[in-house]
Amino acid sequence: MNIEQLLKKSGNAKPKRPLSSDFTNKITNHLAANPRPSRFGWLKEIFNMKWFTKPAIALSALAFLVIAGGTAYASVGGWSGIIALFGGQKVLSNGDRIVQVDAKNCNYVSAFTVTQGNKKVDSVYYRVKMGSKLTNEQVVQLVQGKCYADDQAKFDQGVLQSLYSNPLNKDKLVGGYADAAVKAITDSSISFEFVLPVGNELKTIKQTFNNIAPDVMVYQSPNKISWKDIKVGDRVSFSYRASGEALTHSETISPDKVKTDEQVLVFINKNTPEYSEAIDFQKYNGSEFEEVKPCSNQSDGYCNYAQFREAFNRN
Amino acid sequence: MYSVQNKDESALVAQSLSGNHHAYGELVDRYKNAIYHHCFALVHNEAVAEDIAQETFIAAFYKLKLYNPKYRLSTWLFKIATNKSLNWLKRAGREIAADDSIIAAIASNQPGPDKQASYAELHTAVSKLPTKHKVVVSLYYWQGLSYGEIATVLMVPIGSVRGWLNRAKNQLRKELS
Repeated sequence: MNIEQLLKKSGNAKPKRPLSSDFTNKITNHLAANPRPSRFGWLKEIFNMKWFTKPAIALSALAFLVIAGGTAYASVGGWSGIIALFGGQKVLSNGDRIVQVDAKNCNYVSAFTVTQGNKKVDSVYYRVKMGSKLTNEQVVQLVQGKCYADDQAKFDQGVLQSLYSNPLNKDKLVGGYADAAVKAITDSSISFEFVLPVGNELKTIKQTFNNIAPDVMVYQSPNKISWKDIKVGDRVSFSYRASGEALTHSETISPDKVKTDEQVLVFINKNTPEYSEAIDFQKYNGSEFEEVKPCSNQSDGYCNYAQFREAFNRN
Repeated sequence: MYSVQNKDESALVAQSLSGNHHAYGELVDRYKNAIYHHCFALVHNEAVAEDIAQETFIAAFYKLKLYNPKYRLSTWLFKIATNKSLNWLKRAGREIAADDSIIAAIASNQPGPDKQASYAELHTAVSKLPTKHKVVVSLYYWQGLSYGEIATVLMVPIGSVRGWLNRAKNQLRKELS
């Protein structure tokens, strides 16, 4: 018997019934009701996605971090070394311009590092649309903000990773938010407000936590601060773990549907001032300017980043 | 008017990334049966396979930013679906072999009675394979993925894929001889 041919011809065992006729609708309806945190997603995804409950994934994201208590955080948080500088510009025939931003000590930009001879160059390029009021200095500032915000997000992940060592938290950290305003705070409760894109609109979400973990970790990264240092008006990142009935309910990844009375606040980090620049970065990114991606599907994209650099420098 | 059906896959992915659920629905329609059948080949339960297929597409939408367009979208979807199916099997704590009702339902390309019997025997034998062998058989013979794509799905070297496939075929030969 030719098993090879038999396998090829047989096809797989067919299910007794086809998929439900509303299979696709169910999915799109679910997605409409639970929109992906978009636009600011690179920050929010870190906090909103279910993978917070999956230490292995978080670990891989942190592969380059040494997590060993406070000293490790200091090593992550050498943020004063971040520098972003204007590296030049080219005006395209359609009036758009490409702006080069060079950076030092910026992990975000380092992801695009190319080597020229023996020299490593950390640069990113943005296409600024014709008519945009953004100046080159503002573009540089926005990139720098993103550098800071990325580091802070990594710092937050580092703290969260350390939280897994507490059995109370393991597999129960379900969510949080990367940029929320503190609206009220007492010794035993805190209220946040943040804006989330829902469809084409920005929705204001309010959450109040009345359960604060006794060992809640409070930072102004990279330094530990006390709960009393958090004031109304501060912008913060925070994270919470499920408790009580939330442990047996299916999780929701939609912040506007989280039952905060079933959650315990375990981590709060006062955001650095540069954070607002990062948020601005996301506000403008895609509308006024866009990154020239190392490998883009778009017809005007550049798949080979090194080639693009060469072309940029040549023309 | 530009119909969504005419758009190519990368355009649909780009639109899905910007939150267009109709575009994503088009992608779901393209791959839902393949994903469902693959899940069914692993878990042997229609309701579970449908649930996993649904979870696969929902998870894929939320993680679409992580999709690397250098691979086929279907490969990425199979990867998610395979992981979810394997997790389900792990949670269920058992390997599931096809039961008689499943075998009775097999009707591949409407073969004659003799062929139908041999296909049924084959599917029963496949259902008894170790899970990873079952996965490679399903992906290679029934979903048309290449060795390289299966290696990507399972995050193993191509040699492992080849080895598992050979072992699977040897076991099937023994089983059916």
